[in-house]
Amino acid sequence: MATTGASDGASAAKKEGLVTLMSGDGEIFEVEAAAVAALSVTIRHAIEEGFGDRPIPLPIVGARALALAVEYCRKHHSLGGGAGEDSAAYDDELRAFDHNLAKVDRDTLFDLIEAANYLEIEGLLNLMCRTVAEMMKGKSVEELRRTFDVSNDYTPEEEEEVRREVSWALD
Amino acid sequence: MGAPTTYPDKEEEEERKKVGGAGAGGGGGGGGGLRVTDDVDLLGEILGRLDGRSLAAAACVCRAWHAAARSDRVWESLCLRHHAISASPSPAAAARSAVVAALGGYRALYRLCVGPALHRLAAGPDLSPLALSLSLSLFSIDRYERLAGGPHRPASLLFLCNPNLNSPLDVS
Repeated sequence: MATTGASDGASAAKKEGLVTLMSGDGEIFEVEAAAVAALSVTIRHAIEEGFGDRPIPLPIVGARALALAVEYCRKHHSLGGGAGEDSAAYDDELRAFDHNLAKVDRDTLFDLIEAANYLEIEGLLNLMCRTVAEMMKGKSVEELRRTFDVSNDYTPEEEEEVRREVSWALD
Repeated sequence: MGAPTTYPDKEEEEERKKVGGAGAGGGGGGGGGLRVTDDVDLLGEILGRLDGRSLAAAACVCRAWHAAARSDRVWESLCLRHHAISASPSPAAAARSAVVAALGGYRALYRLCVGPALHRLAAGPDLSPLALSLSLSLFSIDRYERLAGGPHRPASLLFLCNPNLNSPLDVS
């Protein structure tokens, strides 16, 4: 049936079901369209808009975060069918996978939050935000500044004022 | 969100004037490159998963964190999460949010009712969704009484949330 040459046909077959993603730093990822489209709203829309045979540019997502996000999509697509944490399909293996993924360092956590937000992968965003929130819980103001490398830009008066404002919750 | 707060506490109003508008500008990324904590929306996503005490500490970190911690969406997710209620959009959720916004917002709801109730019950993070309805009822009664009697009169039923408040029954 195919009128094109054998090699063309072969490469088309190889491309079947794949989608090409390009990270902000120019790295190319060929991934299963079904897996990423099931988990990422952004990529699903890009595919629907006919990006299928061109690389989908993801300008604010770095290669490292994209690789992890793609891994997340693959795993959740194959094991859980993309279902959320509440579903029965969210089993021990997925739980362990998520647990391991959340063990990355702080800056990677932040990159993954940005990536999940941009790619609209709800489960990944939820997982990573919860992980950062767990890092914050129970810490003092000073510990929070240290942990997250945030400098205090309050004047002493302002800080006093804010501490008074939230004192009802601190006691 | 963004609905106007109809009956803001006077003190809260003043605080808002003083520290308001700090926004993300000049934000807290001292180390540079930590974009997530400079993004008020993403920071809000994280802060909404804290408890009240940790959220208060986060507000003291810097101006940008303070701005994020004042967002009523953050307090909404606190209130809902403690009652195992899904935050996903639905007509019922929109109606609830409209009522809470008209009464002064989720932050006020947490401060007056949800927080003290959690503290008092020493319960885990999962209360029954019914408990939120009860908090919301007490919150409405408080706001209604403030309307009638001015902002400084103690509300008659809030001792149910916080036993340290003087019961108005004592005052007759």
